[in-house]
Amino acid sequence: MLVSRTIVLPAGLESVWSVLTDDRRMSQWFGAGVAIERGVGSAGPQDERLLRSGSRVTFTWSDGRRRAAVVEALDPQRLLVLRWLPFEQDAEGLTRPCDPSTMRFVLDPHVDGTRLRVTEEAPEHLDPRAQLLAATSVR
Amino acid sequence: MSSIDHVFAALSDPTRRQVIERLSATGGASATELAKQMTVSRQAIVKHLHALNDAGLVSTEPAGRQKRYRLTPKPMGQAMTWMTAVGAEWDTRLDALHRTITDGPA
Repeated sequence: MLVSRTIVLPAGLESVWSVLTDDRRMSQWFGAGVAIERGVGSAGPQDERLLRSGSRVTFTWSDGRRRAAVVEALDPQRLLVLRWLPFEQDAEGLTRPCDPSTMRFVLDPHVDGTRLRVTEEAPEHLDPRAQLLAATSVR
Repeated sequence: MSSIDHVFAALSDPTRRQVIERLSATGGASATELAKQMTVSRQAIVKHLHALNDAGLVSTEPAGRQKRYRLTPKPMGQAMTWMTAVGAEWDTRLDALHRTITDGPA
């Protein structure tokens, strides 16, 4: 099961890539605060050289909810794949399970700038918790 | 508006999508509980719940002096709910991404 959106952005590949991989710029559009874990020796948030497969990206929403994703694949200025971990923390720090979907960003050159295709893919068994709740909470 | 238009209109609002996510995660909640969890006023939550109720996305049942809200399996299956909610979320994000790009490096 897949959700897919394509958008053409009036900017070059390098510029679009930085908006996808810079913590501060990503926080401007994602709807959550973004913190990207980088390798030891990184020169800071702007340093994307050390962003690599396995890097953890933490998203914090304004209500205190926090969820992390892991970089699953990376090809600078072409491809970024992030997989949501199958749990999140609420504002009180309580952990609960959630769908481990995968977000994929594909960048292609376009006459008007860069074409960005975003897909989010749900796991095969979508949210078994909800089914369990539905089965057990009949009043 | 057709019923599917009502559904999309109801899900176009980020706070309402959050209400849906909360109800999905908890299995059901009162307006007071939702307001507390989401740090949004109870009055605003009630307004959003009415919109979701009108779209047929939530149903209510009495629970003491409060009403308890739950997601309805209709008019959409769970999969369709996920796709619609995630799709609407990306529409919002990509609009913001477009603004971030056109505003230039801040």
